[in-house]
Amino acid sequence: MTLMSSRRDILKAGATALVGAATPGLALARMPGEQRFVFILLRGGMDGLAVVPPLGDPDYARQRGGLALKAGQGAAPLMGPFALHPAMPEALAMYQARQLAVIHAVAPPHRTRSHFDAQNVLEGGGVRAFQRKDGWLNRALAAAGAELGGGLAIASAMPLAMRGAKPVASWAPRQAPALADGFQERLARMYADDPILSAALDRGLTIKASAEGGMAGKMRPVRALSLAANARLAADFLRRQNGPRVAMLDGGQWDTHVGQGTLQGRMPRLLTDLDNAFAALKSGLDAHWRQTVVVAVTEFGRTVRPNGGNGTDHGFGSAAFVLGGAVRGGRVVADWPGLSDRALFEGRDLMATMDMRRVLKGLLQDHLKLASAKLDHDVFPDSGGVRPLDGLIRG
Amino acid sequence: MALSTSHALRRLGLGGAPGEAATVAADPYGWLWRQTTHAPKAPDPEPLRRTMRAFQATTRAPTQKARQAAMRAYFRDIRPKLRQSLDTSFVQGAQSDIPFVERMVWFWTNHFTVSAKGKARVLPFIGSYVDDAIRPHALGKFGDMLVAVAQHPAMLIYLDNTISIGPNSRAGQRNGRDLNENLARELLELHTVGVGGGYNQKDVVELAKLLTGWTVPLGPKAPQTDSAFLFVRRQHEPGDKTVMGKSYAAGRVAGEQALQDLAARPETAKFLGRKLARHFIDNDPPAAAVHHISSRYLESGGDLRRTAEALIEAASLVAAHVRPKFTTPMDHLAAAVRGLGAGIVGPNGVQATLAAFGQAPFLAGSPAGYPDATADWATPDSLTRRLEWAVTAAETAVVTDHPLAQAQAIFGDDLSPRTADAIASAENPTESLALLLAAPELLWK
Repeated sequence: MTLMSSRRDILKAGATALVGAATPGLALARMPGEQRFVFILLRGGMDGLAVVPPLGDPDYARQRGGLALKAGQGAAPLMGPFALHPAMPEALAMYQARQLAVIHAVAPPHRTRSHFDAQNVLEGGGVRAFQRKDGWLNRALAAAGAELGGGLAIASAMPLAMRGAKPVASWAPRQAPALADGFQERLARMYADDPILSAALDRGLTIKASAEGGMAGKMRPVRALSLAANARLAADFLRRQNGPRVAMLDGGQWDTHVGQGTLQGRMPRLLTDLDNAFAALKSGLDAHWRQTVVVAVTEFGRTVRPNGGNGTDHGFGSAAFVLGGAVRGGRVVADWPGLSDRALFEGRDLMATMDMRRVLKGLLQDHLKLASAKLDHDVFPDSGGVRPLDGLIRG
Repeated sequence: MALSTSHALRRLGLGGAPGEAATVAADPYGWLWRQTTHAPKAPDPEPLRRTMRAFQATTRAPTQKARQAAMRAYFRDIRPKLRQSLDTSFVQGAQSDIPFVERMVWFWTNHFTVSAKGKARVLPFIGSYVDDAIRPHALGKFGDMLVAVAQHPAMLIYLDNTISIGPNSRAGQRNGRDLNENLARELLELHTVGVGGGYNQKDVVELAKLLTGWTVPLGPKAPQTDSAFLFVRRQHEPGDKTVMGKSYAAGRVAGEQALQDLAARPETAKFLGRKLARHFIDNDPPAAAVHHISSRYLESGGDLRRTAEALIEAASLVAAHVRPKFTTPMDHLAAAVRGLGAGIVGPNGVQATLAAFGQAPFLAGSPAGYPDATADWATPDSLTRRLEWAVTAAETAVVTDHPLAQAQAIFGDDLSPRTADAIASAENPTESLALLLAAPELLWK
């Protein structure tokens, strides 16, 4: 039944199993600097209003209805109207230590409700889907040259953001394929007209769940959430002297159309995993954390009001995290549009008031010292009018 | 009602290459018929000769111990090469310009199953088996295919004919050795007239006697020869034999004649007609379709090109009665490769992937090969394995185009709104592709 050996086996064997072009960091003419940069793409559309709820916004409770957090439920106040979901204690500690900042009401420069198109824009660095066949992070690596060192994607196939002329390595985490919740839901819908497939799917998943639920040693656990584990892996690579300086992580399952949950359920589970990933990077990078920047973004947010399934549908503006020892944190950066009916985008979504490229450009400029000319023309083509967000980096 | 594009493309062919659905839709019948006019290339005898020489060398070592060591080394060497070449053959086949013909090659290969399960010595000969014994005859005479198969080392080793000795032959009398009925039985039961085709145990024994001496030049005492087939008269049962009412003298040619006679029997026409109809038309084919194919087979003397034409005609004839058929693992993987390219197979390669699905190529559990019916493959466990593969393959594939666009290119008008919706609403490109690989349009043919 096994298709792949487990990651544990691979690590035991000492294999790094690098798939892809160059081994990062080796054979460089000059030693790379000590700055580390981690890009986390949370795929599926993370609900920014759930992660960093604007409890103090006068329209929040009314608009969010059953998904609203209430006072006394453990959401920690940040600044202004904003609070942090109680499932993220590590992030809160970093915020309080001024090593984490929240960017809110931010989105890539393309209004689409297609995951595919939005992720493509976010990763490609353009303004339209399928404008680019390579990614902004690869172009940033190319622009930075030898000073930056190599790049690494923790993924089975090279994500678009890291694809391009500059050779980048990838490491595929090996674990038994999960049939994640979202996938199962979509399968069930796809098979709804087909009695044979529906029945087989239902029965097959039940069997699989019970077989793997009862596993002791023989079968691998099937975990749909593993961002924290991948973060640990990335940190392992990043802290090596000869290792990569730039890493990309992929998170999934944020597409909470049904049963999103507030204090319990899917959303808090996702946030716990994200929180653990932040902690894993901090502890894994150790002394290098001082010179590290991590940025976690998503392709779009979600509807303000819950839908009929106690979940949310695709939206527009969302929240992003910038964290690391090099970050000037302890604040929320937002040009907050509010949640009144008039303020919502198309009457349903949090409006985005900031182009995500501003955040990425700001970090690349101030942390990785990329020249603005390169940022405006090469890394984010035709973005001369997009001003980098200043002040995110210390010193 | 005419032959549907979907039936032609997916059940008679191997699935849609991008854009192919539109081409076929214009004239499904013509698209199929043109493929039957294909002229097969003459097989190249060299690969089998090379294999024979290398394998022979291992069996010639002077001591038992040395032979075993040589054999182990030989297999260590060829296994990865063989896996690679079988994987490549599968991918090339899936992407063939004449997918209807290719599907027939796969059909006959399963009909004349050879398996290395528990019999590693079959392994080195598998590549040649398809290329030399099956493919050259796929649009030729069934009788010729039958003889080629029965004289091929893969089949002779698989069904133990190399150890079948005529009890009254010189070798039999000297060593007290006897017949092995395996090959003869399967030739009758599975390959020609079929169970209930009118033969009895006596016919099995007589046919086995006819085939004694049909062997492979292996072993320390084997003659030095480039040929992969050897007729050893000292092992051959002397005297006349009678198989299903026909008499044969001793000798190799008589054995070949017996096989040609079996191929020409009406029972064989019926048996093959039914099997072809079940595979290419419907799990429970209308009698009219079976009859159409069988009669053409019979009146053409077992001409498989003419039979293939009849198959297309029959499919059109009963088009209104055709029901969906669940894909076998090979069908599913082939359709994925045909639509999305070799890169879709995933990190484990073709052999391991098909094995995980329960259809390991050339490792079938019995000479009957792999079954074909929906009931055999549309099971919860089978579906779960396909879904797990879909996830793995999607994770490792490089998504170069929107899976929705790919689905439209592959399925054309057959793409259902439900499937399109699922693919379009997926959370990320990987999930999108996984849904495409798990789509009903790929699971049914």
